[in-house]
Amino acid sequence: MYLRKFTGMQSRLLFLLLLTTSAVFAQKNLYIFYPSIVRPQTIQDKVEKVFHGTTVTVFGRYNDFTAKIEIEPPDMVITKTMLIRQLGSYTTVLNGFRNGKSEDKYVLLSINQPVDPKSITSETLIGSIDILGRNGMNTFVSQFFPTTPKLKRVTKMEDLLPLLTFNMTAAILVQEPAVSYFKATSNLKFNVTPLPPTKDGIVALGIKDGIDPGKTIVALKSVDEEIRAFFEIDLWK
Amino acid sequence: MLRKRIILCHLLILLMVSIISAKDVILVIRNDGKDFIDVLKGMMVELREDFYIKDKVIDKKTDVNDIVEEIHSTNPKLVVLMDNASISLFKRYQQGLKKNEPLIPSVSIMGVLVGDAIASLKNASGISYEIPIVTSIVSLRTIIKSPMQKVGVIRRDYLKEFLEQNRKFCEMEGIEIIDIALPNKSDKYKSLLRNGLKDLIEQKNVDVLWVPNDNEFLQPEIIQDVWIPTAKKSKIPIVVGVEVLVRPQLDFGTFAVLPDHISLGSQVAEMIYDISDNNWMCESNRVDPPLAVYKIINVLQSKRKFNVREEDLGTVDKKVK
Repeated sequence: MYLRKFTGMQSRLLFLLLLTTSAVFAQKNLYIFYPSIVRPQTIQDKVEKVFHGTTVTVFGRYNDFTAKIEIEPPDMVITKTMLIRQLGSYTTVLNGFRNGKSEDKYVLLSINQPVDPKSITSETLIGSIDILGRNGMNTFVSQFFPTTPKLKRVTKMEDLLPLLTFNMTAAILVQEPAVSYFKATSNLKFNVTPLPPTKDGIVALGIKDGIDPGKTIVALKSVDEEIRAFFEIDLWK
Repeated sequence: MLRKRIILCHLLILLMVSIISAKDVILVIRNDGKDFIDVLKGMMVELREDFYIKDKVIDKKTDVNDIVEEIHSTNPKLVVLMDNASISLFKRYQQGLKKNEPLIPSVSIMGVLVGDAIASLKNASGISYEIPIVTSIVSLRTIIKSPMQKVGVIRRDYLKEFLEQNRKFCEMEGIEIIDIALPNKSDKYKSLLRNGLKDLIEQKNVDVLWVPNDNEFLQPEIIQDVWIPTAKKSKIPIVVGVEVLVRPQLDFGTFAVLPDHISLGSQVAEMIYDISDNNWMCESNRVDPPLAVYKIINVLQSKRKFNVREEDLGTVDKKVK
């Protein structure tokens, strides 16, 4: 009885108002994938407290991360810089820094004997955590050696240790900060062989083209040490 | 008009079939169940771009003729066999092959002692389902800070080889396995287990107990009368391989280490790519250990008995409270 029909103009105005309101108050989506020994849920519990008005989802596996992006692309991602590049439709707006540098350092970890990177052949088995998929990882790893070795990809950081324990690979390729995790976890006699520096960044915030990052950049720059430690960095810049 | 649409539909179907058939087929033979489906999911994400996965679900009525028919109709490049029932069927299929018929490579997973199960198969490889003791103890050592140099194990004779392989890997980590072997058949497991556990804990002073997934040892009556009273009395952590045994209400297991099925699927996919790179030939019956595990902790017990703090649990997949 109290309802009355809207005129055409009123309907259009109401529609525009609703559209503007939903755009202003819409939750932004942030997906995070970073290889870590800490479980995704633990990271998510800590991180979502920092980003008010943002729905945070943390992934523990490359495949889960990329599959979700295919179905429901988020507004923002925090992940390895080269993965942001591989995704295509995201632009890096903030980088993670470790000891003043944003470039990542990698090492070969082997047991008993050191592994000379120059001696790697196409038959040498090297273990690595999967951060780029089969083809992406082959391309990424080949920058360190004279030829692309046979890669054994695993889904989680700690799954690399059995590759050495059970002698399934000659070495594992890890980021430099991960060495302390392996040394603290295992009593195996590790040999660390540094690899040539890469131009790839450690971690970055990527924003989907056309999306306003809003307060995310400010929030990320001010996260505490515990959250920065998940990404093995000491500064967001 | 209708006729045109029907022709168009036929063309589309033909196109799809040709796209599908352009890829090599991987045949999966498995039982029904969530764990099998999780492995399949893990495999498919990795393989879908390069292979077409044909899923054959078997049951008690499935016989070797069904397998022969499936293989003839799909012409797979490789067969994935999930659990011992699938391995047995494929074994019978292979035994029925004529001399010049090709040997399709296989990857066997999720069976009991896969290495033994595929010993008589040709062009075969696999991934064992039993989690290596070293993997479980090293994982627990990162959470519970008490010393873990001596692991006590009571097992039946059939696990001898598994244990000897594990002994070598544990030694590399500074872990000694102290085991007691029981006969494969006995009607006195209750008393044998009670005495054995007393010996391991009180005489041999083991730091941790590792419980094999042995149905004979995990009968409800034995759990109630032997394992639970032992766990309540002892001050050492107990590692199990079944989630239900770390339920706080039982106050039995401290830590459960299970296969991570989705990651197991990825590991199978890696093995399939290796075999494909090797011209579809398996390395002589190679069996790899499972790489990824799913860790569950009994939070109540671990906090009460071993002073574990919440911040020590960041690497655990599931916290049971």
